[in-house]
Amino acid sequence: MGRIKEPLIRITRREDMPWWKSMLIRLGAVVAALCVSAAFISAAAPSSKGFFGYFGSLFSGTFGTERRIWMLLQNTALLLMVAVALVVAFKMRFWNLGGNGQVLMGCLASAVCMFYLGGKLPDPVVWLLMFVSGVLAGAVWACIPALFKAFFNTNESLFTLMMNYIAVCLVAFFISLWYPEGTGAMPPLSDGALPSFGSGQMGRTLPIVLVAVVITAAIYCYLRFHKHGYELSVVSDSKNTAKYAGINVKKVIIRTMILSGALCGIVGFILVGSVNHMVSTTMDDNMGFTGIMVAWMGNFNPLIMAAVSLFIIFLSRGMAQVCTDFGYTSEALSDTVIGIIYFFFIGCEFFIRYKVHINRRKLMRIFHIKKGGKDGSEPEENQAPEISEAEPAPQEQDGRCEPECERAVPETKEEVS
Amino acid sequence: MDMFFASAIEFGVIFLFGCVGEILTEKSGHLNLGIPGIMCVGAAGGCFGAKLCLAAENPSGVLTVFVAILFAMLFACALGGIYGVLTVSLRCNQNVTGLACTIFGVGFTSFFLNNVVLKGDASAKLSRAGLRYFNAGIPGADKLGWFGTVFLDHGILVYLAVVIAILAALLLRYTKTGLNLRAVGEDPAAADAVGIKVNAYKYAFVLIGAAVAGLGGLSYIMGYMNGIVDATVDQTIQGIGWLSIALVIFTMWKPGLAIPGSILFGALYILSTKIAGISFVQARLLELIPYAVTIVVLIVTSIAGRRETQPPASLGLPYFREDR
Amino acid sequence: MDGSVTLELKNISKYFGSVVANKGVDLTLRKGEILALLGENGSGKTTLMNMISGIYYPDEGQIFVNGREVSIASPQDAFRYKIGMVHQHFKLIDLFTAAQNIVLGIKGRYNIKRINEEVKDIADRYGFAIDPKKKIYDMSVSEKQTVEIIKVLYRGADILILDEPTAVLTPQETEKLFSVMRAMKADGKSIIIITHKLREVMEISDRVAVLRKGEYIGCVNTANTDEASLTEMMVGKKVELNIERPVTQFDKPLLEIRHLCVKGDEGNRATDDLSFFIRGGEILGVAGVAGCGQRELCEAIAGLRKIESGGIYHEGESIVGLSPKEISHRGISMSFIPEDRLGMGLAPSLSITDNMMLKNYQDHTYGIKPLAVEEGDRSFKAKMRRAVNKTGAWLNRHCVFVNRKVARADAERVIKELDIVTPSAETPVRKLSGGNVQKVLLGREILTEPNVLITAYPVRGLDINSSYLIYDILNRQKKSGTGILFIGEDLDVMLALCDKIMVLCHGRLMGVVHAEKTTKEELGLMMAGALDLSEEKGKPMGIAKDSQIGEERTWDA
Repeated sequence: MGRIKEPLIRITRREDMPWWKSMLIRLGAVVAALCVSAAFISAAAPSSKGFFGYFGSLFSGTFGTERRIWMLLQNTALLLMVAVALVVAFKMRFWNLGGNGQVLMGCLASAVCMFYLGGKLPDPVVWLLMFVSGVLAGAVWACIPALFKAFFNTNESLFTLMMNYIAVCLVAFFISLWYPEGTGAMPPLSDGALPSFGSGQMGRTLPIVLVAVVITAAIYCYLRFHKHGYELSVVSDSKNTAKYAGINVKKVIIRTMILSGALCGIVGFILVGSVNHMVSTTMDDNMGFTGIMVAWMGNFNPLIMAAVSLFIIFLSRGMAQVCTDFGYTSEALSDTVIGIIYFFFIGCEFFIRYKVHINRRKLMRIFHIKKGGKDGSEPEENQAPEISEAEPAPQEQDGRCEPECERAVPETKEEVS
Repeated sequence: MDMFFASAIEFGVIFLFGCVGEILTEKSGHLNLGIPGIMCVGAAGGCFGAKLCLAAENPSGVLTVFVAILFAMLFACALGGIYGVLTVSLRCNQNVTGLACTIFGVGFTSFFLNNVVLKGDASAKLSRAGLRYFNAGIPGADKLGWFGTVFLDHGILVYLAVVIAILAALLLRYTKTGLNLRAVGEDPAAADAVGIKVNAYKYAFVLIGAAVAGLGGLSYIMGYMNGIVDATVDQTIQGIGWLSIALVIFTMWKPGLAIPGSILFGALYILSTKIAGISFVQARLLELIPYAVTIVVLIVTSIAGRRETQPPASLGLPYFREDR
Repeated sequence: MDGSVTLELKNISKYFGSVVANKGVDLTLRKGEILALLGENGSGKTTLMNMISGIYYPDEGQIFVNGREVSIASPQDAFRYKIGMVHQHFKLIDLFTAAQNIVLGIKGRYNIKRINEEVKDIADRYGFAIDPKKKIYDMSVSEKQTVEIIKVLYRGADILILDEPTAVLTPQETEKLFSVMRAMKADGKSIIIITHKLREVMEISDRVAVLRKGEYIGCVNTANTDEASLTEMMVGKKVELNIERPVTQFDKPLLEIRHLCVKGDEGNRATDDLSFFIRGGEILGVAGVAGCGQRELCEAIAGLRKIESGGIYHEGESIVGLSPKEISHRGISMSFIPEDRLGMGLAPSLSITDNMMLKNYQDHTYGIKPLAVEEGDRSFKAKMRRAVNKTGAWLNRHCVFVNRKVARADAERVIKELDIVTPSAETPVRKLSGGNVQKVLLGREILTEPNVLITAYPVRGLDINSSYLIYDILNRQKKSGTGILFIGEDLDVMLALCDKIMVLCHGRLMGVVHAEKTTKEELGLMMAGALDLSEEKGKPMGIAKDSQIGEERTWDA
């Protein structure tokens, strides 16, 4: 009688998981990712301050001075706004990868107003024009791909990506037009800058945070209670059903994308008007991409998204400090570490949606062969390491699904082989 | 003019590597938006490999090129492998995973180049190697006039790209493996039911695609740039990577068509630097031509959609056998 | 038939989460026999067969092939043991030719010429007709099925599993399939046929195994049983197999279709010069093989698809060119259950509540109640109150928010009335079982109190009890004077339920017949296009005697 081949690991789809459990898995993934990055960086650094020194540098980089804390809050607020703007599009399953371009166009339009009108018109008029043009530019930049998506079903993700680069080229064009002798950089403009409330960084940050909170809350209500939000969720679920219910799918797609782009435009307006007073090709700070990650990792939930934005900005600001403390020369380290966090975070979704069964009998057989036939009457011991090699996150989850694993491998099989 | 076409070909092969890599990946049903990151990582790995060889007393040219190619493929495969584990085994969203790969790859490359590869006198050595080893044309090319300049005076990577594209075309068109691969990308459930190892194919071609794309990054630095690593290399390769992905739609998932398509895009891309007598300001506007053309291509293909020019039917969808 | 056992299952169980798909199933298959596997939808037939063919892996139990215990973890394993399955939803690559599909996954050299010849050989041996070079997307359903069967035979399978092979075939095509099956049986192959159609079981099988709710009930020789006792085994209790057909007072035609031509998705003509009408209080059945214009017809009436030419009249007024919303406001309701059972009419990820308000969310208001004001009152206070009321009404009309309270009440009503099994009204529709999904859809349609109810495949994939509940709902609507267009699959059901049956063949009307006066064979011939009754007795059958209702209205006015 031939030996029976059985699969070692089987995967089945999981029923709903309680939210706290899924949160724990996600948290575990983040902690694991942080530890992995800490281990690597402290091991390979030219002047390492050790595994725990890494965390020390992270915190001092973000919370070291009062200004740093306000900067942290400001960047978090900006990132959250971009992420919220993208959520609007994602709720419709529209892959808006053009957040960068939409923010940048908002920047450019505001900067154009500032450059040509600043000092010539009264400041409040300039501010208003900057705001309007910034919002319009962002909306137009999002609207173009949406139009083609609605009418010809053109691939929106690549379209929006290309729009990013066109925006970069346009910004470069205007800068070289304004400063033909320069190096492609633009000095900050003094006329038309938004006023700051109070002194120092705090005066600039507080209004931005306020705007972010208001926008996030408003968009949440829009998606949850507004008729538009309802139409949007129907369109995302089934275009056929939406048509059948009399929803104008094309209109919804275009309207939603205009909203998404306009919100990005607001961020651009703030970046130029309040933060930088000028425009550059990298001013979007890749927030369009990061925003996608924030939206995805935050499960489109505004509160979690705020937490995730804070965490990512914390990392990217803290990593600058890590770079100086550990003797690295490039700030791109933060992207590398954040990338690792993304991988773990994306990967842990699998353990939320699927359940992994391990065939204990087979595992034990492998174990027996390795250990020379010791009685494996306590299979639980053997189980954990098998998964944790693939992904550190599920350790706790694996422990909890014990009863199911029990059922999946019945005793009757023990006698075969 | 000859020089322009020669440069266009030289630049086009960067697209060709990226595009063929993405075609092979997409044929297995995986939309890899990580290609820009993978190309970057390939460039970093290739430079690292070359640096290791050049550190020797009397570096051998052939060995340097070989090791650089090997390392480019290895580094690219490593990132491709992460993408593969996440999307094939763990069935994560391909768009998000791809973007994460790009963010990571671009960041890592910039970090790795600055902190590891370019330490010491490596950048001078690399640029020398770029000229002497990677751009050594076929001997006697200069005697054949314009034909030699345009077609024969290129480095090994250019010919490698064309060979890979042709091999990929043959594989997809005439072999059993190609048939199986297309089946996996069209309908994994159907492929599974006839006993094709779906996940094995997906892994294999995600990795092969990544390896091929990784060579694209290498051919930008060592081929087109003659080994000069500038500060914005990661951003440039990222842009090329996105264009490569868009090029896949333009070439209708046919590696054979990718050869002329890539050269056309190569020409468009270098247009702004090669046209004589335009101002700095005008050059900024010419730079956006490849992106604008890509958008036009996207629109045209979507309007004139036919069955044969559609993406693989299950592109972007995770496959789980026990799904009901 | 030498009677030796080729396949044996012992104590097979399979769970999907907390759902038990199969529990302790035993089954034996002998060489050279046709075994029918009978059971209602959801009884675990397909799951069981998927475990034999390596798609699923059993949680418990053993499988023996030719007396040896085996483990079938993948389709490759199944082929190794010479087991092949023809799935209900064909597993074919649309872009490939028949021959490419047939050799897919087989090791060995890829010589398309030789493969073409081999395919032809097999086809000739069992009496199939097939063109190996034809692409799948150009094929009819029965051709695709042929490719699937040859695919399995080409791999040298001795055990064939056919999952509901007759569901998509006309009666004539079914006959042809059965003769092929008999040829295979004579060749020594063992066949398992999954079905829930009792008549076919009696006709083709040697033995019948019955599953109910995932459990094995028993196995009987076909010769020693009859339909009634099989039904009892299948359902677990005696079931009255008669569908009620209440007699109602037929009204004037409510909906009339004249010379309707509609284009399909591929630019083909999906319906071709179609004319018919529906009266209030009658059920008009539409018969035809899958994909012969039913979907396009439904979409055209509901205003979802542009019509090329022809007219659609509702109560005498043309509704061509109206928006889907306006059409549904006129009382025409359409529900179409596509093959995946979730598609049109429902948003699967949204909750039952959210799905309930799909058709009336536009009418949601803030719920501002008007203040009491007397008719002739001219005081300042009354004027103010009127102004307030006016503003309130305006606000209500332009309400930007959805009102989930109203929708939840609707949802709870439908859940109670139609006996929908769900944890709560907030459960996503996707998570409900098939029957309950369909009840949600029908429930919402009936909630709007339509006067014309168009329903396509409402019992698709439902078990007998749920089906009868749906028939009941339809009959209740019929009695209240609604005109019903019933697009169905099962001719037996349509013969019993409908008043008249209209037959379509490739979008053309083959005739409208009275359900009492026709036979299944006649319908089958019409479905296949062999019998055309539409021009009988020199008058077009579709147009109502009291037609010209459009003009009738204008006279009234």
